[in-house]
Amino acid sequence: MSKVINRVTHVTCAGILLGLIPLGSVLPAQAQWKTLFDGSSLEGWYQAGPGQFVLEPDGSMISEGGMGLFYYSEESFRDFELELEWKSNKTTANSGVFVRFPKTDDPWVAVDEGYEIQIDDSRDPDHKTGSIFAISKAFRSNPLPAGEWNEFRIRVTGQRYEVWHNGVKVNDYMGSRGREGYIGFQNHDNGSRVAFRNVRIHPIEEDTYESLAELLATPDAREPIRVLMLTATHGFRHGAAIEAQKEVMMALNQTTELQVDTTEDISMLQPEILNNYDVLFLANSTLRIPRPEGAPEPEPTATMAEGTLANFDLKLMVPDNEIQGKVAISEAPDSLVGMVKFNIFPDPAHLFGVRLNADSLSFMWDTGGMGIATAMLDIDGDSLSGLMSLGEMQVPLLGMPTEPAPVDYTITITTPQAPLGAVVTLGGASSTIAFPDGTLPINDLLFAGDSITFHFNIEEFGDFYAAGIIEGDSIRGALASDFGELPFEGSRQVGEPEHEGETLDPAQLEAILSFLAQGKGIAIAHAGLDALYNSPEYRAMVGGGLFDSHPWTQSVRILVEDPNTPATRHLGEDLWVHEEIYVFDDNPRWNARVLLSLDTETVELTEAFAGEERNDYPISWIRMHNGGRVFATGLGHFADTWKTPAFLEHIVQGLRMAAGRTEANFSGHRVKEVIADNVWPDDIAVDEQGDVWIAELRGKVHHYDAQSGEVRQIAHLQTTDPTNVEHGLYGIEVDPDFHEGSPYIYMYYAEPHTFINTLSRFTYEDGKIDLGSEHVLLRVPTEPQCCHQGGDLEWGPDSTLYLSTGDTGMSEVRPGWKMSEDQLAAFIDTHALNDYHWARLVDSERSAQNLQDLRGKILRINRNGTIPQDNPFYGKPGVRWEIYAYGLRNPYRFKVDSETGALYIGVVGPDASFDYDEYNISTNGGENFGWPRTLGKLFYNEWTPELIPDFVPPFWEYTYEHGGRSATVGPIYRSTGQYAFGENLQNKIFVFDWARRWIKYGELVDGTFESDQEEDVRIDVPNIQIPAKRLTNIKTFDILRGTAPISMELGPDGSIYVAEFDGFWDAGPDSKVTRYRWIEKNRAPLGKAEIKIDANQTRLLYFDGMGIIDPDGDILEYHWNFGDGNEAKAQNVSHEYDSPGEYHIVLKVTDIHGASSVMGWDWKIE
Amino acid sequence: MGALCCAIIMGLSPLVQAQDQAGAYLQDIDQLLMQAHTASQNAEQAASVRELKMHADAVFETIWGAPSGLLSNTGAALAYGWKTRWQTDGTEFDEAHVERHGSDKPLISDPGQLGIMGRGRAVVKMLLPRQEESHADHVLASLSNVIGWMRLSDGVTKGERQPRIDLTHVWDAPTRFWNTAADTGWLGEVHAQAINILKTEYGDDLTTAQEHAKAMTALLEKCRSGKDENGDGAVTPIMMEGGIDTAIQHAGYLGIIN
Repeated sequence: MSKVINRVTHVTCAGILLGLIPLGSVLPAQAQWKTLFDGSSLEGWYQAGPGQFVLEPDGSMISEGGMGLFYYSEESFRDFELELEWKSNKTTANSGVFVRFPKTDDPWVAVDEGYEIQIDDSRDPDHKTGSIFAISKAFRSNPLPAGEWNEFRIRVTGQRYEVWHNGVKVNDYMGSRGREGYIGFQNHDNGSRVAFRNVRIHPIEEDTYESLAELLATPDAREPIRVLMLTATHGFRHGAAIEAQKEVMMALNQTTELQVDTTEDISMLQPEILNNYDVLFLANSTLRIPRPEGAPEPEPTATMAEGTLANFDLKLMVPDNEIQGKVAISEAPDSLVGMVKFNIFPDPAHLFGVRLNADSLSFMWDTGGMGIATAMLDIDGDSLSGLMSLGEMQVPLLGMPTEPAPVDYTITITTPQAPLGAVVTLGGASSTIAFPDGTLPINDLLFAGDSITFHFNIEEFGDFYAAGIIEGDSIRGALASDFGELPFEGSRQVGEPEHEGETLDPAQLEAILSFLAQGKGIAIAHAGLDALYNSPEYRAMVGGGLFDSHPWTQSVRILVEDPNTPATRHLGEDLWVHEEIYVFDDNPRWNARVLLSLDTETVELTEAFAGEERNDYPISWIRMHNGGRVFATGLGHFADTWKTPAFLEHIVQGLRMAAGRTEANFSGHRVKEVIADNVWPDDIAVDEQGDVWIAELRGKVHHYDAQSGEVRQIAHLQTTDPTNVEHGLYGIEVDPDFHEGSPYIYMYYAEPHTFINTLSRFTYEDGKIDLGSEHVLLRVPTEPQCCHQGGDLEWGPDSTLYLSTGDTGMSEVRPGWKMSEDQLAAFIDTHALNDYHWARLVDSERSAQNLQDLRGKILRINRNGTIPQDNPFYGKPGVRWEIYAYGLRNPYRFKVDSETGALYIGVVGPDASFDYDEYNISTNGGENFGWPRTLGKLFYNEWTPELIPDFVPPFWEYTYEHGGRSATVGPIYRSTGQYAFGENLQNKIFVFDWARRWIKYGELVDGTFESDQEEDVRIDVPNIQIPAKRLTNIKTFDILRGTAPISMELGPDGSIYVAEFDGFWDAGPDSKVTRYRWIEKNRAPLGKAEIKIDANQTRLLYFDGMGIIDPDGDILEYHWNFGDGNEAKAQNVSHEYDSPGEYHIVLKVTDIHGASSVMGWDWKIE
Repeated sequence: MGALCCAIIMGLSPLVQAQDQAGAYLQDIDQLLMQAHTASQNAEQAASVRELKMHADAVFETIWGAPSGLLSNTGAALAYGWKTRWQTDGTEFDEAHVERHGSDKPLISDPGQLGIMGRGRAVVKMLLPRQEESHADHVLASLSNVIGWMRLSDGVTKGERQPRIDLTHVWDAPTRFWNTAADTGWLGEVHAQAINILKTEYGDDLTTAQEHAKAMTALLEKCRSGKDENGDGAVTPIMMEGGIDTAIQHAGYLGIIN
């Protein structure tokens, strides 16, 4: 039965509703504006309360004294748009623009009955410029420096209050106060001098909305969507948000097809009840289940506790970035102890060697993978400054005393009617008092010894001034108010035990999972992802990641990754919101379709991390699981977020999507499978049919047949023993027309005995490579020493063949081989080399910078070995025309963009503490990437960019700070094939690092390359800045464990192939070739199972599921029902029947995404 | 006079023998350069691309003492790897190193079989002990501009001598030096141009091939005559300026060429 939706007003402008039409386009003509203040007089303006506004010669009015209200008293306004300019004398100046308050002589009337658009750049989010004072935080801050004119645009329609500050929208709030009133400015205090000018207004006479429910009303009759919103929490959490979400969701019952029931009662989680709903909405519901019996104790995780002696916020000043951290110092019986945590690491570390006195603080901690770090800090007043040392690295470290950590007190206030419960959170400027129906800010908080005073205001009841005493964990005192003195008392909330409160029983958890398996929907908001950690099923349901931490509670930009879903279409490119951002313990991206993700620049994560740091923060996503639809968002911490139209529409549409009532593609996930083991891959090539050609360093070549899955050795090329010299079989490629009459394999290898690197073409016939068919295309003489051979082969879009060659030099060409440190120091002293970078002299000039030599280059030849006449140096006398780009140290892996022809090159750098690895781009050919004159951000000796011919800086680079490194490049991902990944990967560049074992991807943008001034050893360190392509938005694709990525290729169907290296000079046990695919539509398992009778015991059967495979490569679960009441869950089992009879045997094979195949047998047991 | 008598009495010392040999090799180099120059000029006048490439191959052969192999092959030029390329007198090689890599022993121990490059390296090694003498220094500077600046060192590592050529002894040269081809030798430009010509598919475009041959001739002339790098109107036997002509001239002053 359809539900008829009643609406209060009519929507006549769907464009405005959907946010598609810029507001400016519906503004009335200029003539309709009315000037309230033109700069020539204050006529019509009225002062209420202390202080005044005075006319300034520049045509503005400026506040004096306070606190008062100066308002335009000639006319009240209903729906309008107001524009004005303001400027303040200092960042901390306080003022505001009041709207819709009644005529009054009391300035507090405007505060209590109207709304104030706040001006004060120094305050907390609830009271900062652009906020609706104490009610709705500004999405973002966009101030100009004090003394400059700012613009406010305030649009008030119905109960919707929208604010733009200097052209960007900073607030959008649905209010509930008066519909008409006056407009005025606040003169707050003597020190705040705030000027206003160009104040004008125009009325709006279009349709308006009196509530969020009305704004989001459904314009037509629709089949109801029955939603059960569960808000059960363990402990006191998200009370204000839950109240807000109840309010807005219940209101939607009146205007949309949503039929929302809300409950905190987990006993509702039973099939009989859930059957009445279409969507289960776990909205800030922190469900828990006990740890299963027998499950291992969770690893104790260190938490960052407050210190008893000192607490500091830290800033680690690494190049181009500040890493935020905290340190807490406490007193132990015999020593000082403490903890330190930086936000790039998930866990805090314990301190040792702590020394603290009046003017210094020092401590050490174990960083885990990078060794022991030492902090040596001077204390000046309250602040710290000094250095953190880690190995040879020294980084400036600063510190400031922390604000006290928020402490919660549960109090009971004695009122004349009944005791009133509240939670007081005392934590500096962010202190609040939370009542059952809402949370209020606490102002003027003051601690003095054991005594405490603070103030808060309840709109309906006025001001309350608290004075109390804190004794241990107890608090007591009284509230002074218009109702007299109200005593209160309470106690400190000590933590929030993880399993406090009600927990689900197994049946309730099963009810949730079964509900989804019926093809229904589950929606999850914010703390619903801080739930059910002990349930692998729930973890799988949400996509793998549950709450880990919330390092950022601030204004953030949320990027819309998929703008083509109902839940995102209204957002455009982004959503700004002031929120608590969840970081998950696993990335759901690869098990879901990500709708929204965090713009990391807004949390100042601008550094492109080269380690394993988190770099990908999905915010909202959808996925199919067990046949049902899951919509999840990490947003929804704050009450005012729920009252923001854009967010609420995201939720409403998410519920519709979860219910299956609106078009949305929930399916898709990544699979990884091993296609070849028992190989030791060094380089791989993938042909146009998806066959993989695998080269091993010691000369073996294998072929993976994509049709049959068979892997065979097809050649063993004789090459130089690679041990210690890195020579061997370096690279392999397959002719682009291999399956169309050109059955050639191209290999680059070191000829045995000669140390000449040779690029040759071989013919593949009769299932093997004919080594006798060798046609040598290029020879690159090298040297009988380690290392830097390069050796990657790639095809250009025009079927020319590119080859990377290393400089074949030594890593650090010191001025003498095998020189001791003392000898080196003496040499440096003798030759006045102190101003030079010791690790780089000039030996690679003869290769990488030598245009008569093929080493340290990217080379380009035709398939027959001749020189393409469009090569960049063709025709230039005395230069080898095969050279395409130069100045490279060890370009071990590179790729050619099949669409643009651009080359992306990974360059492995020297083994020195502060040298770099780098990534380069060759867009047209002819580029000089600078080695050995520069590498990464360092320019050696006297070199500067203008002295290096054809110089192009790298697009990414990193140092040893995170350990060993070997920068290498993977494919430029462009595919629409069957297994192609989504938009998040399209046109992105893969990068990977053999030493660090990660695979990442990012995008190139126009940016600025900046040199490293910290580690440049010259006396006059140049500050070099060059416009350059830069790699940004770098996210992790995978991190290998036990193996290292050494070659990556893109297959014709969008699959990504990775050669996983294990061992060093010989094969390790885990080496293999793997394949990643995006499975758009999950497929059920295929194949046949077998049942066999034991030859000696006719009642003993063997059940064999080996013949069942999953076409998507998923892990399978096998469930045998033997028909006699017995069951088993394994691929291969045996079962002995007790008695003769006819039995119906059933095998159900299910993949991890819920797709299953069922097969049955009727079996007669004699 | 006394020293000469002593030499006559005792027979020529190895050092004196080396100096004489150096002078002879320099004269060989002069002759080979003239042959190369002639071959390049012939290439400019060739009647066909094939004939032009034959002359380019002759230029190649003067440099290495062996042909490129490209006249009958569209693929790679023959390369003379470390077992021949770095050799000057055969004594630098360490048997242990050769054995560890399963490498063949060097095949050529006579610099006289190695073309301009091999002879030039032999001269450098022979004259290095006299580098403090200005004329020897001028010979070395001029010759190095042609064949590349190199210090032929034993490069001991892993307990083995691993002979290598390096540029580190001129680490403090001006940036201008590194941006010329003099650091690795103007002869490398000739070598590169010869290979370029041999590896380019000109088809019937003889004109373009002749332009490339003409450029090769100019590069050879620079090897002979040097370059007035500093613009003072003279080519002097210093880094980036002198060529084989000044090397021969100062070898005469040094007394190793009559």
